[in-house]
Amino acid sequence: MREELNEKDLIYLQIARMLEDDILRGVYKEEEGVPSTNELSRGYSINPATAAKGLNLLVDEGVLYKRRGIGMFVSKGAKETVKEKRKAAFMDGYVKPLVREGKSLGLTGEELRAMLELAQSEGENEE
Amino acid sequence: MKQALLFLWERYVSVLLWSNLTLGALILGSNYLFPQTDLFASYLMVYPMFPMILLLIYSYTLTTLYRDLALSFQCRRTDFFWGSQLAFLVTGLGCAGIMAVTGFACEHLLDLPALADGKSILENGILWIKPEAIPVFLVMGLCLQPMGAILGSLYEKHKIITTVILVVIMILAVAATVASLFVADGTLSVSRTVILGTCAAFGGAALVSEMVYYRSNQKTVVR
Amino acid sequence: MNENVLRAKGLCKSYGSNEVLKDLDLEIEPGKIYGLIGRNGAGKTTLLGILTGQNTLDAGEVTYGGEPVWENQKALSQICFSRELQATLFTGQNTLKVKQYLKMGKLFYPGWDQEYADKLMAEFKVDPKKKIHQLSKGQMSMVTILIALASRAPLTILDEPAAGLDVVARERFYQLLLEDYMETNRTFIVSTHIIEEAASVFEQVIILDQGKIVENCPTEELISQFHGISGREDVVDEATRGMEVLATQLLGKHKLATVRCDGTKLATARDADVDITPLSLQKVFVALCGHEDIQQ
Repeated sequence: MREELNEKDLIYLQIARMLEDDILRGVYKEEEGVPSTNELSRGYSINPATAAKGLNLLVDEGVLYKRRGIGMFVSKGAKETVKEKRKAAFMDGYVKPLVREGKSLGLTGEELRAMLELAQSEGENEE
Repeated sequence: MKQALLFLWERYVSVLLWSNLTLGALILGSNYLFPQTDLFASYLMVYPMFPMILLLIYSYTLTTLYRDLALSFQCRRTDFFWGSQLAFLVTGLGCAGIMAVTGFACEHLLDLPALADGKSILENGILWIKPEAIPVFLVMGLCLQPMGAILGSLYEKHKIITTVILVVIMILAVAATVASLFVADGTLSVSRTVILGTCAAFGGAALVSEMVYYRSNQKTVVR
Repeated sequence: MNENVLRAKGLCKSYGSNEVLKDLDLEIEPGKIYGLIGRNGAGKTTLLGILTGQNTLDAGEVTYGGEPVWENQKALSQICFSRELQATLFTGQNTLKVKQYLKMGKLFYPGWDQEYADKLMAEFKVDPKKKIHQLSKGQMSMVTILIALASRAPLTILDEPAAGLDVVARERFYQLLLEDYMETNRTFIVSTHIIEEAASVFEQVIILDQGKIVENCPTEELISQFHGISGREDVVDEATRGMEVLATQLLGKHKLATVRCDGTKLATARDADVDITPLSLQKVFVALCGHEDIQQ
């Protein structure tokens, strides 16, 4: 299980990201409980404080909420919250690097757009 | 403190007491295995040397092994020091007591062999069996323990010197034992002053040893 | 706030002319897993020995819960310092049996959990009747780990516990450590060489270098201050102007700079044509303590 964590990014961010991914995928639905601090600690061999930090980050963002004595649960509309958050980061995280890489390869704006369209249609075919 | 005492009881005091009991029992028992032989006679005569040497050598382990061990388990240094003192006392008393009992048993229970002159060993007068001798062994037993303890702690840094000192002490012990035999059969007479003087010398050495022991206890670093 | 805080002030310790600890200050708050990292010979074991009263110090003071540790039964009995077992003592082989060590644990540690110890003995498959010198290096490590865990001491210190273990056993050790911590929430200090593996287990990391504590802060907080900036030499130089550059590596015209800076300074670097990568704890440690050894 530990191999899922990489050595570069901060662990609590990775935990938060993995939970967000699962929420987007529908692994955890609204009002459903997510793994506890101890379960995450056990599963990934990480310090419980780190796991707690990841969970609390999601609580602060309104993705999860705490039920005292019971655990953390997925908030109503969590999926949308995560999507909004990811959209905001999409530009810096994916688009800008894509443009930069394209520039270093000498691709024109048109070539990039053609690639995007091709990828989109391929993706739709897969579904 | 309690832990230090229990630890020392198990690892030090009881080991020495059992060893001495075994020695005493061997001496008594061997009378029935090798009755009326010179071999047994000679063992019987030099018997006190063994408990004394045992005390000297085993007390090495206090500083070569057990102190480090106890301190590594968070035993207090002062607890170990004073615990050692109680251990020395109990061990010294115990060993002297065992020797007294063994001597008593030899005198009253055994059918002791005769020596070349036809007289029994008892008639020749083994000194150590006599009740007057026991206090001397008590003093020796009490003094040799702290001496052995610091020899142990010196051994690490000064192997040659401590080995020399150890050999010297052993030679002295043997000499004292042999001397006591000559005193017993009358060829040598030793005044009380000499005996008291020797005890005082050992006492002095023991006192110095105790001071060194205390200091080394405070300064020792667990490896 | 004094409650069970281990505080060291002004520690100085020299071996002969070698100054190992120089005016060292350290504060250990309760209820965390600390990692103590430092180079070989930096003095980790010496420091730990002094913190636990097993070593003498030349100057300074160590207190636990406000009271001095030295020769103080109350403080001493709350601490467990589990050292490496040695197969040979200077008197010869270590002929003590494993069960005698365990018995000592039971005698000296007030919180000793015999049931837990038995469970671990069974799991580690160590024969209690075996003598220490008959054990393999891995088994010796497991015995020290066992004693540390079963001691249930509020402050438990392990000196290089993973050193003799293979990868599988190490993973198991981290698991056991975390399980114990989740159950008891006691304070652990673990000194280690195997930094990267253990990094995720430590809530806080302490770096000992050249006789002083260089860092004592939450692991992720420390890591997030360091970055690797790489790209063309002149671009990197421009981007890293005004930053604390710890080390640089030059491969032809490609330069990798290890820097320490906060987010604001980094923002300007992001716009430049450079790659910015986070660093692992191990790389951070090497950058901080590698000194001359790193290629400049």
